[in-house]
Amino acid sequence: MEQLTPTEQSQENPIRFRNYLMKSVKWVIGNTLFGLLPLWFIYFLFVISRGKVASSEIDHIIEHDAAILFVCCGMMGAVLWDFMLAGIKLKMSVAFRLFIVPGFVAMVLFTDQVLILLKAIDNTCFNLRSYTTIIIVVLTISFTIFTKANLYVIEDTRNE
Amino acid sequence: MNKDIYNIIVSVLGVIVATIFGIVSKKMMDTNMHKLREHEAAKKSHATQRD
Repeated sequence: MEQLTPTEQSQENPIRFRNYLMKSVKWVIGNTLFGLLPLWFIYFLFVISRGKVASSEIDHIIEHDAAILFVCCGMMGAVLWDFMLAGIKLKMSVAFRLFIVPGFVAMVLFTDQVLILLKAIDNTCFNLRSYTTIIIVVLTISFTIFTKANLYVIEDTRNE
Repeated sequence: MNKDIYNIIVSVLGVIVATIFGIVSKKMMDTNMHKLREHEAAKKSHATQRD
């Protein structure tokens, strides 16, 4: 087999951000699948029983327990701690702008919880079609994918 | 009505937050990729010199 020179190798496998993005997308998918394991199991029971059991449990887990939003918080927290423990030095202004997403998500969740406790709104704000859920899920996916990809790049720069 | 206003406020703030994050993330990505490519180039030139 023909052996490639380092230049040819680098031309064949150029360093692209897309590769890091794909890696972090896989991380997000894996974490989501594992984080929502109880929900998948109950959904599996729902499917094999042809809708006879577990219908109310699925609604309960999503609306009352806000499982999806808990998983979003968990994933954001994981990325945030990875970033902090990696010992990356950031300017205060950059760190503030980077961590504005987890702060905003926490603020929305706290506000919703307080409004539910005060009975100003009901639990429907946690269902899959509500504004709160859509905004939090979209922000979480964007934040985790891009921040984790940046973290992979930084780690590769250090390790190589 | 109040819930609609709340949803609008949350949506607008969400878009603002996402935009700020997008700008910072893009800048960070450019800087980190530049550093990684520089590092890779330095490593390769070092290996070539050694050979």
